[in-house]
Amino acid sequence: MVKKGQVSIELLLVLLFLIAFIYVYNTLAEQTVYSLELAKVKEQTSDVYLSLNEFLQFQRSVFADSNVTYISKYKIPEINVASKKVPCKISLSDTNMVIDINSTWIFFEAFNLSLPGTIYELSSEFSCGQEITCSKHTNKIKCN
Amino acid sequence: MRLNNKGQMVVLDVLFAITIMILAFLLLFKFSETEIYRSNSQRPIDKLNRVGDLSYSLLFNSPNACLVTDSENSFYLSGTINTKTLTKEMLAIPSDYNCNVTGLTVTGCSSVDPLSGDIYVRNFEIATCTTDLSKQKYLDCIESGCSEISSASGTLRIWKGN
Repeated sequence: MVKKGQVSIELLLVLLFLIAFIYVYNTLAEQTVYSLELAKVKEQTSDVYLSLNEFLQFQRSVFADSNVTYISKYKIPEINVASKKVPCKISLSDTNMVIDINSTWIFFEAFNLSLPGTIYELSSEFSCGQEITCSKHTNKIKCN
Repeated sequence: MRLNNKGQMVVLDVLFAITIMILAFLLLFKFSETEIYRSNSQRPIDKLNRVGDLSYSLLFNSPNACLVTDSENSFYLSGTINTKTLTKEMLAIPSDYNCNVTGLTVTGCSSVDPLSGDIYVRNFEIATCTTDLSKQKYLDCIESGCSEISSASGTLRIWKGN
């Protein structure tokens, strides 16, 4: 014989299990996607550093030729995850570059580089996706 | 959902659905793990290659190349090296990377190769000079050779420091 109370309790238990399962499943899935996207963001952060460093270092070659007057432009790569743009701030000094991400992911990465103050005059801050213009000013490469 | 004759609930559909969801999650988890591992292990290698390629390019281009001048113009000879003053900084090698160059003297690049880990290695054979050249001297060198331009071969090695 099955009583009505027994059915209600069993139904309740099944429902509770389902709710708990969906909650755990959803949390784990979200965390996994978060980790996956974080790895992608870090990969692109490294790429921003490398490409910006390459652009700035190659300015030396043009700068060395005293007969040239030049203006060069370069668009810093953007950081995107699943077609969502991730804003980032780039702080530059003579010896390092710090890329600061402050959105769904909050972290910063510091990279070493060598941009002597005797050659470069740089804005201290850039952002991803920004276009940099470098030109020769008297005896320095000015980029902003 | 229904009851059998023992009063137990038969929720096979739900059980199947949960099993499929668990399997799907495991699949996503495994894929993510592989992807994150690939990204983390590949990133330092990609970075080392990019740093190395940049240094190699700077080694053979102005302002490190030999300069030829006359009364009106001057130009760098691409693919040559003026060995007068070469430094690690001129090759844009970051301070957290070590380097070693044979065949040339590069200040700051005399570290001993690590026993393990990834190393960027490029062999090169190159014309070298120690001073700027006049255009006439350069033309003479092309025609009949000269002591101002000589050849050198060596190896550029770069690796990430500890």
